[in-house]
Amino acid sequence: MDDAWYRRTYPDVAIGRLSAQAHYRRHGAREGRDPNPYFDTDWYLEHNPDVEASGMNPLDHYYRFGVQGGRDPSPFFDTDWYLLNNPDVAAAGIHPLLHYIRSGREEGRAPRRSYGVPGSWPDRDDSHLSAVFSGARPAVPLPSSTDVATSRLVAFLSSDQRLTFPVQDRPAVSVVIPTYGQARLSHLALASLLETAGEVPIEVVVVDNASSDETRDLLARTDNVEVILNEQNIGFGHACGQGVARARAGKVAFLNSDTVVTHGWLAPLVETLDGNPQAAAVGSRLIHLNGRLQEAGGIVWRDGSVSGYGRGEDPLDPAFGYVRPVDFCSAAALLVGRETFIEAGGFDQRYAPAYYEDVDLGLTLWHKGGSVLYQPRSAVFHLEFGSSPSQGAPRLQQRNRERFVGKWQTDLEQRDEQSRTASLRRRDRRQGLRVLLIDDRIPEPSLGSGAPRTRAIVKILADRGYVITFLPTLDRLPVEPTTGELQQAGIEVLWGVTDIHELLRSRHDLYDVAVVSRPHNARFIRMIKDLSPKTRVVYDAEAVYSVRTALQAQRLGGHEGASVSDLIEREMNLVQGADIVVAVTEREAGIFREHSPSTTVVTFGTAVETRRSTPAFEDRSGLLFVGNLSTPPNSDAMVSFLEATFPVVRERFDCRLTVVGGGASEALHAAAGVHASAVDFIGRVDDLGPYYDRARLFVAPHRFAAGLPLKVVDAMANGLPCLVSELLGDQLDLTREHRALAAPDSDSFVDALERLYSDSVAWQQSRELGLALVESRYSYEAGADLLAEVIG
Amino acid sequence: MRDDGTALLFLHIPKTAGTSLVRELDLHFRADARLHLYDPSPDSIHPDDFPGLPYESRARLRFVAGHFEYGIHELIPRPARYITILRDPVDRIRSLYDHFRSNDEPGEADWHRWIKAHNADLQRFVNDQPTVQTDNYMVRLVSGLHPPLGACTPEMLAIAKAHLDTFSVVLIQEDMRPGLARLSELLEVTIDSLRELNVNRLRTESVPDTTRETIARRNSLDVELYAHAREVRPFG
Repeated sequence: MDDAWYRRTYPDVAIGRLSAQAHYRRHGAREGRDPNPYFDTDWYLEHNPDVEASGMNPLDHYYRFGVQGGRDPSPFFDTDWYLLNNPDVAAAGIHPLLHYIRSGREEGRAPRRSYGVPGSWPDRDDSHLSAVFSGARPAVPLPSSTDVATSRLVAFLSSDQRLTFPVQDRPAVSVVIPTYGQARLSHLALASLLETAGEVPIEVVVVDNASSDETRDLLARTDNVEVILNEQNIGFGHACGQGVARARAGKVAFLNSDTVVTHGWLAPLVETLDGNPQAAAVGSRLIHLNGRLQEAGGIVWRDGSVSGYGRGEDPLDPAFGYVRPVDFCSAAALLVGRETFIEAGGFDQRYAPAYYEDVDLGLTLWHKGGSVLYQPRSAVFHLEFGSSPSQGAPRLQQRNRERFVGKWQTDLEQRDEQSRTASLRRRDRRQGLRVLLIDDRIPEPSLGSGAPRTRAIVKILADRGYVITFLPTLDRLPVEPTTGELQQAGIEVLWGVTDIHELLRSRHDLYDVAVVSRPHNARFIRMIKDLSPKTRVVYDAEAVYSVRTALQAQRLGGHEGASVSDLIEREMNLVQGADIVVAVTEREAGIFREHSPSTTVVTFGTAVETRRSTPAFEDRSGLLFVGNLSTPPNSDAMVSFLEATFPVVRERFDCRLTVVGGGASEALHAAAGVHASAVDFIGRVDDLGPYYDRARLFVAPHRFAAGLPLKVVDAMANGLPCLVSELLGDQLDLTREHRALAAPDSDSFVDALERLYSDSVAWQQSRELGLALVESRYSYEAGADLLAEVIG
Repeated sequence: MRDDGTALLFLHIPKTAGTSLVRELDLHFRADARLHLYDPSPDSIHPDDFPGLPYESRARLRFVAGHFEYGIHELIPRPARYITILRDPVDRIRSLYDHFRSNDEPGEADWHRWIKAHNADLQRFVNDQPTVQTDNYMVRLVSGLHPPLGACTPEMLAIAKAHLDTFSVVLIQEDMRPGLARLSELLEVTIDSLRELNVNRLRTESVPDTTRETIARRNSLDVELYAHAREVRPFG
């Protein structure tokens, strides 16, 4: 029970001598009043009809029984989730909501999962909730109301505190803040900016348009801020122009005075502007005070109206999590090159005093050959209650829209009418074909199992200008750093999607091409064809799984199910709807051609870049095996090698074996037997480079597998000589000239190992052979050309 | 094993070799992170009791296996993935019949007594349908719907198919290897074969064609779901 909050919230209540608690018990609960900001009486009763029926006081019920029953006090606090994520609270037996109110909130703990939770965002303002729901860290606490903002300003002005910015002789960015009244919010904007001033060297330029409130008192309490005081309100655009004229840095960040910046807001904008030669401006992810997204880039429509993409949605939805070129970004938080801005003519004065300046600037920059990018890593809270439209605002907006339409008529004629479908198309200005890639997992290269190849495909398509959405069917959460890397490269990574049918339905006809990988995902081919008949579907066969299954059965027995030919038939049937099949080897391409003569089948193994400057023979030692050891081909290869081959090798010469890859079983560890001390199980690693550079030989003694042994190609590309089994030799389609790379049986495998391990000339020849093989078949450029041809 | 913060939910349809898979998967999860939802025993609780489980128990789960329906993920406060095993409906019901007549343990006692009391052969077991487990039970569990006997609808099948599309791995009992390989890859553990557990002592060797037809007719939705899975998920 929060007595002060209760009295403040319900001033109409004649509490009299009753305590707030007593009032709530006797009257408030029945009247639907809430005892504190975190307990929603009506909501609790609605979701717990048994409590309603019992007549028990809902707050009492929650505190006595709610936790055990996993019940929540409101949509904004998840009892189970809080305890799950705060084991110290669970262990201490503290009531989770009490803990949150008393200390968790101050400690920055989240009251519920902050992503993937649709709907039910708080209508009541709670700044702390907004911050945690949006995943952004405001540099100063957000105000829950204008009153709170006012009281903070009053406290500041009543104290002897000052806002002292560091002196910057050579600022990287000039932050230009136009102000017009709303001193309570300007105070927060400046205070938050000060908190982040150490992150990027900035100078602050404030242009005040004759505010009549405490703004000038506030500005008098700042140090090292360039202040321009206008005698009258000259409008937003003109004030910004004044600020730019005074700015010393090469980049200018426009910041509205009713914003609160977050930690790390500016550096991503600067990096994006610096890293993209064509970029003329970069805008932030704007978040409303209630935690909902305000804008993830802006769209201009045919009739001259504009919309913020994603407005009202979950700011952590992955649809808003990647860098993309957009029509415009709001000048509430926008970085632009100073000269670029000046050359563009600045904000067009025809829109004075306000509205449409940033929209106009966006189109101007595009028409001058630049681009405007949305950068989600930069988050800024926009306290819209601070800039709520005055009575004249709608008229001004309408007037400026007409002026905008008059200026940009030719451009607007090329645009769509506003609609949800059109928003998906127009959220991104890139002109390339839209490609949906469906695979199991976010392609973290260390995963193995085809992930490096998938990553190469994504990179190739992105480099070639395709607009990519990557849909991992298994990942419920983002995998970092890979997800972030892809998003920063302009790729939408839709982690967390369980109902793919619904996603495809909601995005029907959005994609020009869909690439579906692996047979267990092939069911989506038909789904796409049904929902989106115009989309061309490519089946990317990472491997022919039935071949692997058949070989596995030959080696290990126990294949009591469908016959191999049945399996192949089923696998081929699965991909029947595909317009094009991409196989990884010519051998597997032949299987597809045989079963589906009318389908276009092409071969794309992988695409890698070679590394020739690597350590020499004498600077290396040991054998290296790399593979996801949870998969039968890799675990079998290693078990059989450790049991049958490695002991013989150790009899012939002294060497160690390094095994890199996750999922090693106890049986695998045991297989090392008496040689266990000579085997290092490393587990999964993010960077294989050091292992490639230390090892003298790479071994791939697989007895069953399918597809292309990417790990072997990768090792060869890194200048590490490889010795593979005959099976893998076939998969690599090795010719006679490559015979030194493969060994037909266990005995010859050992012989070849000994030769390559001890003879530096043979080692060097093998190394060159591998590098030449990779360069001739798996070069990045050749792969890119081929994929571009396939995708169209 | 790869722990990415999700919970693995094994929707265990009876008589699909699920017990063997549960035992294997149990090895890879800590005791306090796994839960069995079957008939009450020292090792499990009844699925109906799951919602009332204390938050501590539900919150820390990484692996839940049992005869529960689709939808249980709503009660688990973390992202979750479903897996299941489907089996040819005729063989599954034959196995179910054999199981009931072999076992008089508490969970099966009613059906065991019923078979004994009626001296019921498989044909009668299917004709009289003493339990919903003989009435499109795969569709019931996967759709998450449980109408009375004989009241399953094609809409339930459509829902079950849609749910199945969201499953991370679907194994086919008659051909487990591809699904096991995929499950291994998903969890980053090695599961290349299963020991046979919960095998019936009594076994009906041959099923007359008329009985097969009856089972298939009365479980036509299961037949279709199974065929659908074999068609679209032969590799898990």
